[in-house]
Amino acid sequence: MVARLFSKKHPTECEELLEQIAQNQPLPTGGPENEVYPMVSAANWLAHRRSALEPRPGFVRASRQRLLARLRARGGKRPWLHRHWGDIAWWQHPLAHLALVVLLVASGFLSASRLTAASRAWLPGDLLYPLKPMAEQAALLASLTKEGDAQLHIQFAHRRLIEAQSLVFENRYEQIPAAVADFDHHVSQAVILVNQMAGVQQDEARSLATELQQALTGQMGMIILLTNLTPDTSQAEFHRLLIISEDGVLGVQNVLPPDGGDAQHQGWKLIPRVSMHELGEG
Amino acid sequence: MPERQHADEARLVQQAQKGDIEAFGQLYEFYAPLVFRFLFSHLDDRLDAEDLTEDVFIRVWEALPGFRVQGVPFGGYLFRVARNALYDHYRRNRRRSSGAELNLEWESVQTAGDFHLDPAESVPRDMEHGELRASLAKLREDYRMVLTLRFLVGLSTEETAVAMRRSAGAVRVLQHRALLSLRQAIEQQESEENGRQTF
Repeated sequence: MVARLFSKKHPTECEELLEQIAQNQPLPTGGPENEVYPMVSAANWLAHRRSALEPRPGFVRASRQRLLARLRARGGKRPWLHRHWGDIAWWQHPLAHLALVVLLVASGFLSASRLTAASRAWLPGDLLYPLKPMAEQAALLASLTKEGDAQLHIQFAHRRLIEAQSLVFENRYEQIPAAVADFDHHVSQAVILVNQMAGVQQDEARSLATELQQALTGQMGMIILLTNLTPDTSQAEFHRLLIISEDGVLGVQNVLPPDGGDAQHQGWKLIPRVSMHELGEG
Repeated sequence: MPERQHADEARLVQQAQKGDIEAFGQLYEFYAPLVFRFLFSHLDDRLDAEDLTEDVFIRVWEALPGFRVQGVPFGGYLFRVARNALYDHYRRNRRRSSGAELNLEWESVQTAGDFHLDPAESVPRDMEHGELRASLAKLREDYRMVLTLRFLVGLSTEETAVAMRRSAGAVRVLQHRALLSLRQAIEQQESEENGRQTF
């Protein structure tokens, strides 16, 4: 509705001018377009001030050398969770999945459901935890539809949040960033899939958008509670969880059913919304 | 997007994912000025923006294996990381740079000189930077973000959508609202300055 209003109010010419300005081709100030379109004038005002934001001469070259020296000093190593074997992460490697299957078969008595049940208790930093993302990756590979993938991502995001909660209760704050990073990944993937589905499977996309929105708004209460339980040093991670959740909700906003707007606002009312101002106040 | 086109970007990203530090260096050289521009538009201090620029690329290096070349534009992904780094910076330095204190006074901005540049160059730049920050500070956080990414950094709508975790359509609507709001803020700023001069 809003988009339609905008397209009526602001013709294609305005859109083209905005695109031109965004691509670093500002118009002369005070030109006729600036007078006709307030939006063009504002965009042009910004573009003419880009030069005030340029880095100092020589900064990029010097900082590049510094950055690469830092990476070399670490041997180019990344945290083990992100390390790669070839061009994919180790838990995404087909051989890793095969190893998981072999492990399951060899163990005989350990059924898949028991592994899944047992894995729920495993937390980042636990010896067996790497099996958990592997199993999740295998589940995603086994799911053949975008709808199935999106549902799994929503489910896995929720798991990461539960893990973060358990880590707080066990005072294992150093492992929380890994859970948050994976929460971010799953929420982002769910949002992308829902938006991709919106064009072709509108009903399913709306249903998933509602599910994701409800899950995220529901979880925000828990995140706020956890934020209050964590020491200052770990609060940034929970603030990030809030931002990710808020972004996730906004990311599917345009896919929600027409009456979803009210439901959405009601959902937001249940949770005290945390603004950047409040984050800053810590 | 002529300013930002990099023919070998996908190849460089793939090489960097495999641990090629030099390839990552090339990506840094290409994107660092844009990341700096984004950060400096949200921060008062040039040195903070420089430190944070390096921090963003360290984060990207560590997280790069999780990035899928075929999935989302690298530019969008990079600025999503930059945005997270900025929020963390706000939190760490809440006394200096929190969202609450973005309503900075124009006078204080005018006096904040940059001693790293030739004063003949730095003073007008500082004034423009201050003017920019003062106007942007009057906007909502999501308005500030979309305008910065689109018109100061030069990201495409799709990249901005990735960086802000929204759909491209939502970014267009947000951009329109933000531009109208900025226009009002500029007019307000100008009328305040005129009033001051008259007084």
